Amino acid sequence: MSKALALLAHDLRLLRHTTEYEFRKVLAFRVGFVVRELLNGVAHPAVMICLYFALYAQASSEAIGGWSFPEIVGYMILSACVQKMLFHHRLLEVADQIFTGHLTKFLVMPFRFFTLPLGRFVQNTLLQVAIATLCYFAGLYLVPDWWPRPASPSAAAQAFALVLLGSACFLLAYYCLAILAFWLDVVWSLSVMFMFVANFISGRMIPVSQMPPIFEAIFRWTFPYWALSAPIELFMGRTPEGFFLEGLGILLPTLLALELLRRVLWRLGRRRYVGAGM
Amino acid sequence: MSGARHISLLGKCRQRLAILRQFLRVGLVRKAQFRIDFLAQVVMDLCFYSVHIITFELLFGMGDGFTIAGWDRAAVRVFLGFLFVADAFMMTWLSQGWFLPQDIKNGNLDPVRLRPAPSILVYFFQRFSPEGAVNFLCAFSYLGYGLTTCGPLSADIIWTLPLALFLCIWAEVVVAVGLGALEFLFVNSDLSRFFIEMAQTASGKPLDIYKRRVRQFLILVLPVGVLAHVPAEIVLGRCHGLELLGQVTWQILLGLAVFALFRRSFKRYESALS
Repeated sequence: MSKALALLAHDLRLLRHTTEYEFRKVLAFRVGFVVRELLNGVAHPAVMICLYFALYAQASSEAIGGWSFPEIVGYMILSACVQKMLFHHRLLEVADQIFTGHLTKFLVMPFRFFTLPLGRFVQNTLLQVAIATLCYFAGLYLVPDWWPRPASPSAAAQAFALVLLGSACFLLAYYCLAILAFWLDVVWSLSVMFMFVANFISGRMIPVSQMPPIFEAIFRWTFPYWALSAPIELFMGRTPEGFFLEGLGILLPTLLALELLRRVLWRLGRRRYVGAGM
Repeated sequence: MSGARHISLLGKCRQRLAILRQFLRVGLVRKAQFRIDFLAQVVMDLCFYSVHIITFELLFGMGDGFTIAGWDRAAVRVFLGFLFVADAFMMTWLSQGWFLPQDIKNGNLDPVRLRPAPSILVYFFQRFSPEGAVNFLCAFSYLGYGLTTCGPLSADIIWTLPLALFLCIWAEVVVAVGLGALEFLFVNSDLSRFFIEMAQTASGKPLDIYKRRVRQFLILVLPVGVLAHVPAEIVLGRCHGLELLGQVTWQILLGLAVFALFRRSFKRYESALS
């Protein structure tokens, strides 16, 4: 028991150090920091607002698919904030490390390799939560008429919890795809393919509840929906009672299943790994 | 003298075509080894196309007779066809551009500087991708489908289609090279990758959804609007006569200026920039 606790304490210390180094790295190049961390994820919602403006301008009714134009604007603003917080595949280097054989130097060190990507996840989440919060309040101050407000403090907290769990699911999903590099020579295309599909399912293009009902019925069983579209609707107060629990009912088992899958793939992959690189 | 110059120009063209042929050969050999990756990349691009198509089909399906800033469903299909052709061309010939930030940072461009051919040709076109060529066929098929949904193929469409395709591909090269030049100024900033993504996002919708000045900027300065919006306007008969001539002339001049800017920026490159 005391050995397990000592191991956990060791991992936590390493996580803290990794997070600290990850912060130093992103802050080292200032132009890159501004571009990558501040502006990332903003363009798409802005373009979608312009598109929806054109669509609503010639619509006969005020609402399309149950959404008015101000609500859609609110959705896209929140989509930009949430998108910033979600983990994405470019933050992982494990596939390259396997492919080039650089993984070997980590495997011989006395710590679990997954602590390193986890450190990056923690750093990215802390930084992006801070940036998204700043952007949100700046927007609320500058354009209060258009800016979305939470239905209640608890709705905001519940939405935030769903986003964090969803982001963790993205970390594990991309990690599982990346470590397929133990078997495949190139895996980035799999991650990008998954990203395209996940973007659509998550409601980044169009709110899922604005799609035909069959789409919503299917997407509600997947974690990308609960990582973006569902938290936004929860935040805006457009969801029924028990919605948050339903989200937890999908996200937590998915998280467990992905973690299990990660461990199995890692164990099997390490058996194949020869450290030769290409 | 002019005869010698003519032979020299012809020789240069032959040399460049020979280089492209070698890149093509190496690309085919490489993909013969990575067969699963070949399939994965074909499916990946098909996912990209599908997401765009489904998004617009859903938007148009929200009401009868909907248009998006004057673009009806059939016109948007033509627009998407050009967008996919531009993307397939980028994936087929210009994918090395994605690695430019890393290559500058790691000092990998010395061989490009030493080779006896233009740096743009040798660097950007070095990674031929056969899967991109397969997706080219898919993109062309969708463009053909989009054109047929607009009505019977008229002589005007057939006449303007090569010009529209030329502009679409020219703009793709200009955008990739122009944004790549930024990386020499701001090392390790990832600016080119970020702006390519921005450009793809902005150009993924008909530009009439933006205000006039934004639209003009995206066509005349950046020029991501020429990837799909302008070619679609040309074949749909919305851009003709002097306007068309002016557009083509401007885009060619802009492209040449961008290439000159890249060559100038490349002179700033040192192996140890990082």
